[in-house]
Amino acid sequence: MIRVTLRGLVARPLRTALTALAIVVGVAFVCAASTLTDTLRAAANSLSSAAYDGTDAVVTGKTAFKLSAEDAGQRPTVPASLVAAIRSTPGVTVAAGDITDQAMVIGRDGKSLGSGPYFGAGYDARTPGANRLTPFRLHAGRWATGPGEVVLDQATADKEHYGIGASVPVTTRGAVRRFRVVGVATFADVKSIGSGTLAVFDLHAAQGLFHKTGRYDRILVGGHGAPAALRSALATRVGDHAQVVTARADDRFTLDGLKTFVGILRTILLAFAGVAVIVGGFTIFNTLSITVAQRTREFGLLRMVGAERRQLRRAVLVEGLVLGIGASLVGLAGGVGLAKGLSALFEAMGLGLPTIGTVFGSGTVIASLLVGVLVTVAAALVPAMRATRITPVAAIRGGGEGGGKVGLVGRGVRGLASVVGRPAERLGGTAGRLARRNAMRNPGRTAGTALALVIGVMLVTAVTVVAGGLRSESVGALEQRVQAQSVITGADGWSPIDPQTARIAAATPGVHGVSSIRQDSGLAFGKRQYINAVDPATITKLFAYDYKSGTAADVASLGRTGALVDEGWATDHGLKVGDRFTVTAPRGDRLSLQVRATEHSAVLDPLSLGPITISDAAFAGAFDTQRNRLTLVDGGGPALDKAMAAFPDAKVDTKAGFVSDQTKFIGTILGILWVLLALAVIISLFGIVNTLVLSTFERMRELGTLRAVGMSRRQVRRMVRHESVITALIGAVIGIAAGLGLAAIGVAMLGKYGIAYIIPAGPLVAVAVVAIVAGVLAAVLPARRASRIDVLSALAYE
Amino acid sequence: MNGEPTMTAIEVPAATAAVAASALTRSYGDGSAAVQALRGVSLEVPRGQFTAVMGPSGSGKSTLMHLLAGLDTPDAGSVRIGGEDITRMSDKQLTRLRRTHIGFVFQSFNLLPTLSAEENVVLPLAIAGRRPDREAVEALLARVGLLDRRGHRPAQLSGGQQQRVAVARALVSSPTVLFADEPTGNLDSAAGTEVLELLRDAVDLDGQTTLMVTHDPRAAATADRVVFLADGRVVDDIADPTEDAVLAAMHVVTSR
Repeated sequence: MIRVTLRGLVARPLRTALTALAIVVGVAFVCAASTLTDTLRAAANSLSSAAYDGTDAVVTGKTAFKLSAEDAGQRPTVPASLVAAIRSTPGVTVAAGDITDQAMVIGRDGKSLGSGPYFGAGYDARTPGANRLTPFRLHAGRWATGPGEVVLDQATADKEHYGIGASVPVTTRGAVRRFRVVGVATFADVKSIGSGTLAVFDLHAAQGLFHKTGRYDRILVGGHGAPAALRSALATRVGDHAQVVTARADDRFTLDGLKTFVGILRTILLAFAGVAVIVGGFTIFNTLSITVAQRTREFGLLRMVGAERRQLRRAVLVEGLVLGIGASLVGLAGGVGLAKGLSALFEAMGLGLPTIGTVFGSGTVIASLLVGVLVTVAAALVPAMRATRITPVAAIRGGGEGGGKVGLVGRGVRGLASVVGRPAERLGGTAGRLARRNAMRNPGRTAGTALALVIGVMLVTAVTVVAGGLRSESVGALEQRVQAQSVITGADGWSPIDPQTARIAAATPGVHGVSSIRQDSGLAFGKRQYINAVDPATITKLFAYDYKSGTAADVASLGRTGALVDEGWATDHGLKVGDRFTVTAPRGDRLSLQVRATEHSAVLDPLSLGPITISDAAFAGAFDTQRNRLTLVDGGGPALDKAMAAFPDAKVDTKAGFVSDQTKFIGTILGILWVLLALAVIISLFGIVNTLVLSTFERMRELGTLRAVGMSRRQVRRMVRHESVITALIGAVIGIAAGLGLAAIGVAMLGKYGIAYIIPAGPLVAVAVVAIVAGVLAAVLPARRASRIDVLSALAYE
Repeated sequence: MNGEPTMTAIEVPAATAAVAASALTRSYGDGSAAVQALRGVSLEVPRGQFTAVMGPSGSGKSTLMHLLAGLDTPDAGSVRIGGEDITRMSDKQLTRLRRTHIGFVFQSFNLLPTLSAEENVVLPLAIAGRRPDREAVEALLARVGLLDRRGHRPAQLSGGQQQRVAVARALVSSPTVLFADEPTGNLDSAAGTEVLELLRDAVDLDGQTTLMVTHDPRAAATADRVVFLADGRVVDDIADPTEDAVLAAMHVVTSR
């Protein structure tokens, strides 16, 4: 029995290959997602080890809660004088101050290089043994030892031809200063740190550059003996205003953020891989169903010569198993290539990540094979059960297409085929009419083929509608809130900017007023939240909050204890106007605040302002952040542009430019989702190809007859093409309808945030056009096969 | 189907035979497994004649018909339909030939299951992009006795009815020659008789040149002439056959 099955697979190589292809692509994506994220994780881990393993303890300013990469604002510093006390602690071999801040290297075109992180560090090259405390490895030249000197990372130095001795503009806080390159370094042994840049200064020079005179961000300690013992010895030494942690917990290069990102990326990619596998499973199910129906006579014959039902079932399942194993192995190999492709795609989209060698883990192999084989076998289950129902008499009666009951779904699909097939009949003449009838003759099969396409189209439609709603809401909220003519932000749109820019902007002719928003993290109701600081006297003129209770006057008089909070957040915590709550700042200061007004924020706030806004006066005593998230400017024009040209890390935008810049990311995310979902659509194309090829086998006699009564090859091709387009359109129509429904549910769930349900006509038309093009493409091979049949043997075909 | 108004076929001079084959040879397979199906067959079917081809299985009668209809290519020899040599024709030319010069009736009907009886009948015209003449089609449907079943699908028709649809389909474009391959082979005798009468009428009323392959002596007896094949050669050729004459000739052929 099994030999009969396997011989069948070998005897029909095209059919086998097409069937397998659907699962190959799915498995390849699973493998690629896993390989890519394993590689990234390994890169992050190796960076972690290189960065932190040589350091036994880190002394930092005490924080009331743990700060992580996602937190805004500035961490508390420690006095430089603490180093002496630490060096005299028993067990300490080496201790050195450290500054890890932000510095943008300016390229030869006057713009800042990379897209972050922009590491700006102060390194104590004078202390012997300090090299064990840093991941920076000198590649050429020497470390910076005085003011005006800098060491750049190798990738940046190479890309911009900033060799040793070059004079390089760098901005640390505000204005640009020129530094002489004295060395080139790498981060550990990684050649490139993705889209990040690195500028290493002399430690003492850095204190001045980053406005931290007499202070360090942290003190790095290397010891001998047990690190834990060293840390507890240090803890008693450093006093109440400092704390001792491990280098990994301190995570000054925010590598945890990278790992979190990799984790999210993995989840997203695997979700899409899952979609691809499900679509592939559908295709396999459909193909096996058709081939079982086509082999009714063969199975009947096998039953007649004594095969048991069990044996027929096993034959189909073994067929699925062999297909699954073969396809999974091919998919595995394809996945490694795909991983590299995805990596290149992310790089092209400006999401470059640190690179090391590809990690192809055993987990990847096991997961990919398991998924591929299980899905294929599961897809074979129903066709296998159907095979068992074939009786010996079928050997005489024969089987094949048509017949069988047409269920509710089938009737619906038949109706749909009839409707979307009308243009084909109009355009394609007789070939079009025959195509429409062919699409309607076996609605179950057409439905199965179209269903694979439905999944992809449905998801594309749903994410497009929801993203459209989010974008329109975000854009609308920004348009309404930002009352300034110009806005100054970091060059990348989100990095904080020096307050000096706001002062200079205010003094520029043509500017009537400025108001800035600063951000830091604070603890409220046990959770970290962004705390915004504003100047109550000016903010309400340039930023219109959507007040739910209270007015602009309440914001103008926030004073030292007032707070403006988000309506939803207030409701969650049972706060009303007049109620009091407490915010704990990173250094531990507790602010007792009173709700003066509430406002409504966009559900997807591109500014990520967070729920709590207080006055500059209340903020200044408790928080360290001095740099602004953004500066709103009443006025603008060439004078302002010119004044800001001195700050390459900042950029001036008109209100419209700012709004589109801040909401651009929604389009980027949508673009990535489209690319990923396109994969599901491509897999479903294989399903259409498969069904058409199988139908061609079945309709061989009909094709022969049509050719005999004068149908040209071109007409045969047209007929197959139209059937393919009709099938694709059915998938598109059902998919768009289902997607709109899914989006409606999503929007209803987000309803309290007031997202609009907007049907994006343009993208939906695009989806329909893509479906038609896809149908045409899917038909190329089957149409060619159908047109090339030998009339004589087709007429004799059983 | 007198004076089919949409008919665009090339007028063939009366003197020329509708179908003319000369010295056709055809073998299948190669080496020791080669089978010589035709060993030099020449045959002329004059316009307006109803010719039947008979012979035992393996005599080459089906091969002959496939060659005459341009479905297969001979190893040597030529086939002319309406004076045109079809053996060197490209696929495009053959398609055009089938649209205007050739009609087919098959043993297994070969109707398109998704089309109604009427749609099947006009299919050759539709494929050729010709507008069917309503009245002519109605007349044709009436002639094959299916006016009241024109909207039925093949699955809703009996075998005899299906074959009558097939005959109407073959006649609709007034082809230079109609080929019928065992047209009664899948029918009971009453239905078979009806189909033979239709073919006979087409010859008598419209002068429809017809070539029919059959192994049924009764069917052959309706033809104007019966050509007997054996071992790939023409072995007998009798005019105005009766059933008895056919049976006698068959006996001679098979006992040779």
